[in-house]
Amino acid sequence: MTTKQKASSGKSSTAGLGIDVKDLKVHYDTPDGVVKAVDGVSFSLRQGERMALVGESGSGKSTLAMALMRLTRAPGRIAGGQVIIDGQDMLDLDEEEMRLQRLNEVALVPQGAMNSLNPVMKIKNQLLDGLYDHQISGDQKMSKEEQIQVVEKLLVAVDLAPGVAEMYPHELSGGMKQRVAIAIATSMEPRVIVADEPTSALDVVVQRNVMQTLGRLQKGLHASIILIGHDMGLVAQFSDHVGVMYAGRLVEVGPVKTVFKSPKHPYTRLLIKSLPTLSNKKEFIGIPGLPATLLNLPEGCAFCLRIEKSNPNPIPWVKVEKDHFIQDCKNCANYGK
Amino acid sequence: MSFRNIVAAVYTNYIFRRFLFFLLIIWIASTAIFLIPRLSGQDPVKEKLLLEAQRGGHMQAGLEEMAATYSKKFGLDKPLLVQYGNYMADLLRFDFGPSIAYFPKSVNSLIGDSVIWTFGLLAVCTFIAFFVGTVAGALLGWPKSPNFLQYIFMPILTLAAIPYYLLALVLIYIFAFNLDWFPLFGGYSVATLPRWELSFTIDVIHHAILPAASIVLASLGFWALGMRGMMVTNQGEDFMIAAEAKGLRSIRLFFNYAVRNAVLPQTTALALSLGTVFTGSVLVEVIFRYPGLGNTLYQAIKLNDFFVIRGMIFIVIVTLGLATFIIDVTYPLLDPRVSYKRGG
Amino acid sequence: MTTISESQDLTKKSFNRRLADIARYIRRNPSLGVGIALLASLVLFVVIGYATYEVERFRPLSGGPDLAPFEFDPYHPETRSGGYILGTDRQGRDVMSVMIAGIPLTLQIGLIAGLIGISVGTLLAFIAAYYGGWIDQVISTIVDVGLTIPGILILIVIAVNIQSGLSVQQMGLAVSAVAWVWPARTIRAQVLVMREQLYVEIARLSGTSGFSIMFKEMLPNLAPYIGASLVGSVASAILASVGLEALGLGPFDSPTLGMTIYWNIQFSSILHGMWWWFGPPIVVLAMIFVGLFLITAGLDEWSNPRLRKRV
Repeated sequence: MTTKQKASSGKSSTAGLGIDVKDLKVHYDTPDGVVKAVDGVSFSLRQGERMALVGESGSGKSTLAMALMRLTRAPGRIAGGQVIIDGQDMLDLDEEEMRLQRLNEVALVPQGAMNSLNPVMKIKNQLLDGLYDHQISGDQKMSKEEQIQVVEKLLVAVDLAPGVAEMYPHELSGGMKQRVAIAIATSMEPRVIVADEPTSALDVVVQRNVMQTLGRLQKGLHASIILIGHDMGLVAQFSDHVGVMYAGRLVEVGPVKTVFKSPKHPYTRLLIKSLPTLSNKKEFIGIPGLPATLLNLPEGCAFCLRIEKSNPNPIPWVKVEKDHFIQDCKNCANYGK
Repeated sequence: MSFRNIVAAVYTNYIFRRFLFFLLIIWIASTAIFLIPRLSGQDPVKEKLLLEAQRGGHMQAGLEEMAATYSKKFGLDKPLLVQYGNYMADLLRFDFGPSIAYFPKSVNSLIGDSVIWTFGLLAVCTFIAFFVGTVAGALLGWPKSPNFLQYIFMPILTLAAIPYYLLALVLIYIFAFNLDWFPLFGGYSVATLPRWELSFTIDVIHHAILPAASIVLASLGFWALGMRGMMVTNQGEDFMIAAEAKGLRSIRLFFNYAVRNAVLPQTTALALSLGTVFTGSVLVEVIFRYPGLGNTLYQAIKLNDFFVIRGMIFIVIVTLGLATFIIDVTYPLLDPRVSYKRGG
Repeated sequence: MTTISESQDLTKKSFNRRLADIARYIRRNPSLGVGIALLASLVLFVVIGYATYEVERFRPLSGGPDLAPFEFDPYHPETRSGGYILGTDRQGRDVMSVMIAGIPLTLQIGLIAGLIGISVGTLLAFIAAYYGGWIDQVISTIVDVGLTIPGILILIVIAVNIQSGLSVQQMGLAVSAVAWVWPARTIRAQVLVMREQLYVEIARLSGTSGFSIMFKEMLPNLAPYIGASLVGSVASAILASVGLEALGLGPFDSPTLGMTIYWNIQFSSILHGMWWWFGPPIVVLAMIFVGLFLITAGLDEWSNPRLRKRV
């Protein structure tokens, strides 16, 4: 029924890598200057692994998520870098090729707070229309029975009753809508899933269920998943790896246990410290200063500026141990220890 | 089912509520028409009748007779409520009384024919303008449309600002007076009699082109602008971004996602704009001496024929209310979020 | 090196900087600029006209009738050998004078009706949207009825019943009776959205009175939108008043633009090819409407950043 187009470029597939992002830059052109929303982010994820991206508001997480699917909209533009999935650089494809990659190879689970479903279309049609637009010409159209089967299968996989197919989005609860979004995102068995705050605005119990569903499907597909979020607790439970973003740059990335137990970058340190715990009742510690304004951000260490220091030299991206990298700025490295 | 339940069930029905609204409009309008003349304490209608009688030039006897009948029904010696009661009773029977200027012809006979001409003209014009304008607006608001469309449509959009009758004057001067392509006035050629024949129909269409053009060209821009605005707003909506993320084809995004949603407020705007369209067309009819409601109204105003004016206004309001009601009632078919039952 | 606090202090801008910002915005937003230019040129025309031209000749029989521009006036041989710049109409009015005198009158009607309409409309919109409940139901229903019934019909009823005919100021007042309806509806929609925003919630919780919230917190935020509505209101007021006048229900002795159109229709100026008589009011009215329209479009773009074509 559904057909997949594997983009093969003739290059040798980078073995086992789900997604490899190299020096990705997203810039916004404003009359006051260039805003570097994503300023040279690099990371890679093996097939089947889960990575979370965390950071304060304005750190560039969502912009990055959109860029991975090449959904960046004017006045933003992708200013450089590579996004390699299955040996193919997404940023190298033309419009139509990229369109075919979406949903097929890389799929989006939109924010939980968003109204990501078309209010005037029935659920079943929204599940099917992505599939229709990805068929190779020459394929037969699906028959009525096939349609019903596919829709039912997708709904059941996310724990929804088949009757949901005939409903409209406004008849569903927030959790149900997100499940539909997950069903859509997994309908073509993509290699990479980008989940942009999928459970924000849902209540805690529903959050857990939705994340469990997402995780189950991702495991079943052996897909790589990039989870954008700011809920550290969720991140800790769900992911294998975590990347911390600040001012459009990745400051630390590593296995979730290590990063949480012994963070190496001062910003991560402060972030972890600011989390309330059930055991230790202590003062709330925030992070001093305000998040950086991304307009005309100076070269060098962004975090130093936050704590009113300065290091204008380019900061090296240093490997601390296996799979664990940080922005190594000697100037502020020991802050908050 | 108890009486309360029945009332509740009926009231929550959308159609019923819109119908109530329709009745409300008619009631408020007719009451306003009743009250406004009486605000000054005198009854201007009676004054006017006597004034016309004094001026002569109309049938004396008829006027005095009319004044007498009028006093019996609406005389100021009667309590206001009784006057109001008589007034409403007459209205509901569509009895507008006799025309003052053309006594003893009844108001109805004067209005009767005009309604068809105006209705025909406006229905066709609104339909064309709405359809073409919405399509144009949809294309203009879609980022993937070719650029040259912007250049074609900008001048048309600016026309939207100009009232219909200004455009009518210009069109008459250029196309009827100078170029002589179209007749200068009338609904059909002078000294011909209306009949159901092809030649007459062509004559009617020939006469209708300039008035129709004024209305269509001047209102097109409004629809286009509205639709364009809606399309642009929709572009930024969450579901559009999510739909793009699904890798859907442009055409599907355009029709099923953008247009399908933008059309909803357009339809609401259509319902609200019917009054404006009518208002604009009144002077167009006057300028072209088109035999419709607008022209009849104009003549009635000149002749101070108050009964005709009142009757016409009532008819117009009923028609507009009805049209609005019909559009309101079909709206839930377009928008699944609005249901025929409240809370359903 | 700048600290975060300095580089982020965007509130302090010198006055010159702000002027430059406004000028730059007008350049980016051509609608606004062109619209303002159109209206400004009309105002300029009137001012220069009053200073240099014999405006009193707007009255009938100021000159010989039916004179084309620059045609010699045999009835007033002593006055001008060069004729009148825009000729005269069928009743001997100097068309140029009529234009100079009429433009401010028409604009005046628009302003009176527009301002009153916006004030009343905004007040009702705020009350309805903020307090909700049955107050909202009643006001909304009245507004909906008012929108379905064409205002001009009510105006006709009013005008026909006033024995003495309307003066310019009275026209303004009459039109304002129907001008408040549309602003009431659109502003109410905006206030409904604003009511849900956090700063309103906070103000309410801290005990600020309803009216205080409405006028100190919400109104300033709506200023550009209300500005756009005001311009739209003025435009529709002028439209309604010109319509009424053209039907013959306006101030007969005043040379307003609408009355000029009325006389044009009465005397079939088009059939007589008197282009100097029907041309100027059409051009002026077109300038007024297009100008107001462009200003509204420009203000719309300002208050709704999504419509901005360029950043």
